[in-house]
Amino acid sequence: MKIVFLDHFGCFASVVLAASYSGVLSPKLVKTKDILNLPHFAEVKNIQPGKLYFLGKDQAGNDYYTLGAGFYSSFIINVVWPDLKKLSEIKGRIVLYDVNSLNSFLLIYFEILSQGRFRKITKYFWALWFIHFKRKTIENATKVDFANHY
Amino acid sequence: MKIIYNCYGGSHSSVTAAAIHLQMLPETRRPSSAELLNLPYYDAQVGKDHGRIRFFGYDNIGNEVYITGKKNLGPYYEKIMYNLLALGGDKQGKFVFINTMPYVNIWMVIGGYLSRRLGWRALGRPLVMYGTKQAYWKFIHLINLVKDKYIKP
Repeated sequence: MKIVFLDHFGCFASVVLAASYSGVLSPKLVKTKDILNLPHFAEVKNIQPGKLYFLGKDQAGNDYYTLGAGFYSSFIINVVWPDLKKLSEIKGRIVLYDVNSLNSFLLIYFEILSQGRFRKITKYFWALWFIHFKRKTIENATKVDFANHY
Repeated sequence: MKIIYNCYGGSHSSVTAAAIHLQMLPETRRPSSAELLNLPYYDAQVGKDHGRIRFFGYDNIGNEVYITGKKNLGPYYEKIMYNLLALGGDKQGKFVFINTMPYVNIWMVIGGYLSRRLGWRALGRPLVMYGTKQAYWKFIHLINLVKDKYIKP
């Protein structure tokens, strides 16, 4: 099964969630450094939606990806994706999961307006945001069983 | 091959482009208002239809032509779609996404907003049809480019 986490740029909450699921990161989120060291977290070159990253595999063999979808994650998941699946011959099971709500909208708007120019600095704010404000939500989110997920 | 014409609402520019592609509209003159209004989905889709991929017809060599509305995703729509298709192992080149938004003029934007968003058809429809006729040769040009690039008889 392929599990794709969608958020605005595909390099913030989606990376943290994908890393928690694949076992790269402990869902308890103890240190800022752990988040900052994640592959593709706050990727400097990623300033527009549309990028797909492979994050890793878990022990059950599920592949984890992140995809930037702008503000339209739920639109893609609920409307576009079901129609696209019907039209194409997609092999295997793919689950799309919207994690945009875990991102800070203030930081997202800052990233959009600054075109990601301050990402080397803002990545610390992002890491602190996840550790101090979203730790519980991420812990709970990692309990979702994708076997029963559409 | 599946050719998907996409614009903001899937109601005007994508429908016009798909209709030209399928020879439902003339290539040598501007269409009349009646011809435009007789097209399926023309000035007919509403907000909840955005994103739905609608089948429009088969062209003369058997390609499937679709239309869709992508809201404000702009050029990222294509990128996201290709990424999702690649993830599913779909063959490269089987899908072609054509963005018709660069050919939309101000009359189409204002008319489309009035007619589709606000529901003022009496005011919006004439404006959007005027805009479509003004931009018509650009759509013809786009279809010629699409046929030259993607459709090999």
